[in-house]
Amino acid sequence: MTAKPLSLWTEASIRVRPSAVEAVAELLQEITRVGVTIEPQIDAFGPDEGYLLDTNAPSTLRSYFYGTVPPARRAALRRALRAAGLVEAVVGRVAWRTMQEEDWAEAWKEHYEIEHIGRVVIRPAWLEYKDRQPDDVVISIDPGMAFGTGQHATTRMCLQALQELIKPGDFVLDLGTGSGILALTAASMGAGNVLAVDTEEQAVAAARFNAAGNNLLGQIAIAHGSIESATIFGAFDIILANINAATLSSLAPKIAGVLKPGGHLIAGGIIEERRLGVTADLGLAGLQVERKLEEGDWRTLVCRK
Amino acid sequence: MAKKVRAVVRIQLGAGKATPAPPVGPALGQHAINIMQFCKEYNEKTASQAGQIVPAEVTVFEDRSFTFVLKTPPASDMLRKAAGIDKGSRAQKREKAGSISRDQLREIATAKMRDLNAADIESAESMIEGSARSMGIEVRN
Repeated sequence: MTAKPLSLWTEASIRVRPSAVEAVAELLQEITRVGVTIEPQIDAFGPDEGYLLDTNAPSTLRSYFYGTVPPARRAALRRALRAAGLVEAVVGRVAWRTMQEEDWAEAWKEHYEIEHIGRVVIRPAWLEYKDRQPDDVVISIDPGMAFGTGQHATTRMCLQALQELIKPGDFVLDLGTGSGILALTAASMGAGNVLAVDTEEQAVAAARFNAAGNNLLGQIAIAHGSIESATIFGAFDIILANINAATLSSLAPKIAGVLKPGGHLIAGGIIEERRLGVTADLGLAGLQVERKLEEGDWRTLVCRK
Repeated sequence: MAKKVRAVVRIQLGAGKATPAPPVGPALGQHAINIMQFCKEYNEKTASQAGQIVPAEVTVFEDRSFTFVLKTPPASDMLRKAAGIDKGSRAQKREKAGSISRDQLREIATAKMRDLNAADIESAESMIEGSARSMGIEVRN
């Protein structure tokens, strides 16, 4: 995963008076086309006491340009602010800095900790796990830029359901594998064969990297693709699909087509307001919801064919 | 767990379009938030509003956990719709891109009131009017 060159970006940071925040944001959006962030000044109180927005203080607006920005383009931004009559609303100067993807992509790792979900222990690849118990199923994960760290409610609930259902020798399909976290857990808990697929190359690379890191490459086939890649493998005992409501609805018939009678689908990535729609589409495909797991806004459905 | 707020970041981006690239990556990465986690949640919660700009206001806590709420589209989007134009004029001193009535202005200010941090409807109106002016949209009296 480290072979990919990292991208260079330039950040323009502008402090803007409250009355013109929207207008400057609009201008930046139009010029850069990549979106804008607005950071208002806040007074944070103690733990659980929230914060107060300082409505009179300038907000910091940040916008991003791909690559480096030569002086002429920097001057063009100032001209655009002047032409739009917004120059008075800017406090101080526009601050420019170049940054690489790694400057922000890796920062969160510092706060990523070992996670216990039932018997499963998700260990960040860069941390040591010292208190190993005989029953523990330890999975080491470096998610890179793929989804699946075990920190998110939807991943936790899928891991919970998976460990309750899996039997030695089961054939398991992980649709939208992301970092590979669910597929790796299935393989570690005795699945006979695991197929993991994802439509994003970055995820396939991350899943392979993690499979190697856990010495599980021999037990997991990882492919770039979707449910179509699974049909040649025959029928599965368990299908994991921690994706989203729309994809689950549209793939429901195909998922049912590659699930053994009596087999289970663990469907995650569903927010409550979309649960009924997904349940109906899964039902039409012959997948009956047996159990619903809940955490915050998120739902995971355990279905049986 | 008791949590202290570290920062509030508002990200303006297209519904369903959050990726780890800018602006999401650097905006959240500098506060050490798990970027992919935000992207997945944002994209799922905005899936039904494709084509619109849907700002997310992210509250970051000291332990680097976060919550976010979705906000109303930017005033500029609403102004363009009200004026019936595709885009504003960049050079507002020279060109007029379109116009809206004072009632339309009040309607937008009312809709945006809760997101603008304005003390009252008059100051919300003057903020929206400022946005309109910078886009070359005239407010008819």
